[in-house]
Amino acid sequence: MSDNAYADDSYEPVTNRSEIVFCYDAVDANPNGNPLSGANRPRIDPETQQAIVTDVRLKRYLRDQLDDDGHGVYVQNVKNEAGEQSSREDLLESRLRGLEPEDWDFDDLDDEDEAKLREEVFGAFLDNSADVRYFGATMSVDMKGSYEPFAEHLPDHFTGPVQFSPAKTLHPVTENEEYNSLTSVIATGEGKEQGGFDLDDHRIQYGFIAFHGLVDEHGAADTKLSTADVERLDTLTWRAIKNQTISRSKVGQEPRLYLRVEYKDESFHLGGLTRDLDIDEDRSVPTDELRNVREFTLDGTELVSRLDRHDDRIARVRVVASDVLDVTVDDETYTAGDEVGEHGFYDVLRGAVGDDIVEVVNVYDEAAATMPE
Amino acid sequence: MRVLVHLRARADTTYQNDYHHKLRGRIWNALEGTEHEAVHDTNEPPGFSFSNPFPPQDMSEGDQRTLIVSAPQEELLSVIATDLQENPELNVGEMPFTVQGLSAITPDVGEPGSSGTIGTGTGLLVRIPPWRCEDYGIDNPGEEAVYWRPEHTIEPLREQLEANLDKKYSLFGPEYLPGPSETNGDLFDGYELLKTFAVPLQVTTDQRLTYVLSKWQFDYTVRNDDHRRHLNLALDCGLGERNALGLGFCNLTEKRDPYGKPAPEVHG
Repeated sequence: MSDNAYADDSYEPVTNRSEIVFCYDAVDANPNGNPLSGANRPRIDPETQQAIVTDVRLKRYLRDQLDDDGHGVYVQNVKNEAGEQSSREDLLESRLRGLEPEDWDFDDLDDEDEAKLREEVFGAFLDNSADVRYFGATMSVDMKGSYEPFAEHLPDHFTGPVQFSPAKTLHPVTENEEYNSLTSVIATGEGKEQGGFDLDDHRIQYGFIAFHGLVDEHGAADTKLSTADVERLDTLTWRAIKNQTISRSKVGQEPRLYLRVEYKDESFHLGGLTRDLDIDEDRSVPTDELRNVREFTLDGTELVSRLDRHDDRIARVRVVASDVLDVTVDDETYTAGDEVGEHGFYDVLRGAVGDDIVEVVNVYDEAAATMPE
Repeated sequence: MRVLVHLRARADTTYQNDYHHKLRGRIWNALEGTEHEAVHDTNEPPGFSFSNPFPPQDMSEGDQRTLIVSAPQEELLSVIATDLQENPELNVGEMPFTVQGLSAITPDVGEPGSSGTIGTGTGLLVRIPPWRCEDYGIDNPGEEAVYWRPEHTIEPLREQLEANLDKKYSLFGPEYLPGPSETNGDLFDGYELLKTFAVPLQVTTDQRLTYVLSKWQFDYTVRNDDHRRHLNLALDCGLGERNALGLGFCNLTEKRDPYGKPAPEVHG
């Protein structure tokens, strides 16, 4: 599909590709249990002992935050308002039923007609389903009978233009000794242990998790992902970890670093920026003794160096770092400044890609502008 | 975090306002033999607090009541929850209950910019150490601590509440992040005294004292992540003194998010 995939004049398509680095850490927590393990153990790579967090887990946090903020969400968590998902399917089906097959000349639909058709059927659905705009979805709309001719002109699934890869900790992790979590005690008492989900008896001592994400400007038009949607990620990711990990089973997780590199040129991105991050082993305690972020130092040398080498391709870098995160670049350690919004790492980035290119995200001030009207 | 204990009265019963000592005994019994027992014989804050069985009215057999136990340490709550499941008979003095079920909630004051009200569900007891009395202009000829009363004005209450929470933070908060006294700004931005009342409390097996307690509504506006953490700790540990007797137990009674919407939920 092209930029005018939908006949909606108010839609502002995304024009630039972005690459996202998003790191958070987990203290005495189970960042992503594996229900298939039988006891919801943390997912750990048996070769490297790194903890693994799936993109599904991160997207769940983001969807829940979108939902709490009042944005429409299609793929609902069971904890949320019952019936919400079906009401969005109903919306879609009622739009479809509102169409008269005889009004459309299916043998002679030009791009403009197809854009009109897509807007008629999916426009309102996408406008009301923020998560589909980001991450896509598979539709379950029945287009049988007289609606069958529509099927070949309409997508049966949306590919999300925002893709996160499964993440790993930057270091091997150590599992805590088992103890009975409150959730498991209560579930067991009520005879629900068979379900097996959410029994967080197993936790890791510390894990610094690094996610990689990509915003594909070409896919954006398919789901009506707008520039405002992309900019919302700059505050949504941070707030999602802050707000969605308050509950007892996820407590102990904090966002540490967010970086969105927006590129100038079409179809270009450096790729794998998260792989340029590492633990600074000389300035961190031994990995089996890591307990909190104060004992961990991030090595950002390679990341800054790559951005520096390709600075002519970078339109802007939106960044926020936790005030308790230490980052080394070229053997120098950078820490937060005295004032909120200051961090030595920001200055290093400015030196690498240019003062005007680096924009520090003020999460809570900016978030207000990203809320639904 | 907190455990809601769903209770059923086993007999027609008059509500007992001096429930504190009996409930405390049951909780310490549950913690016996665990690492949490050690705090029992110290003057340290215990790291838990509890509500009264509410609503506080006379009961007929079969009536429902709820009890809330809160604590910052999940494992401590797990131990108490296990005990209540294994021994569902809960006799609070002359009030006989059966534990019918448990549920867990984690109240949160909200992200920076959120505002709301924290209410003291049970009475609040604030201690003013003798060496601070002169600073506050409080006459105290003896060596004994003074407990806050309305004539002492808000200032000593405000400062001593924070000092008390600071102590709890040093025990239960993450040491690598600043505690209440290490950050700028007050814990609360509004203090509304609802009432004061006297309650006789069995402080130890052989000591019964009558305390003047107060009930409050504290307004807050979350300044930053540190402030959020401090207020949530107050919800977990309770405010002021004698939390192990159930004093200072707090509820989040009102909450507004920073973006003009009512918060999705407020936990009692």
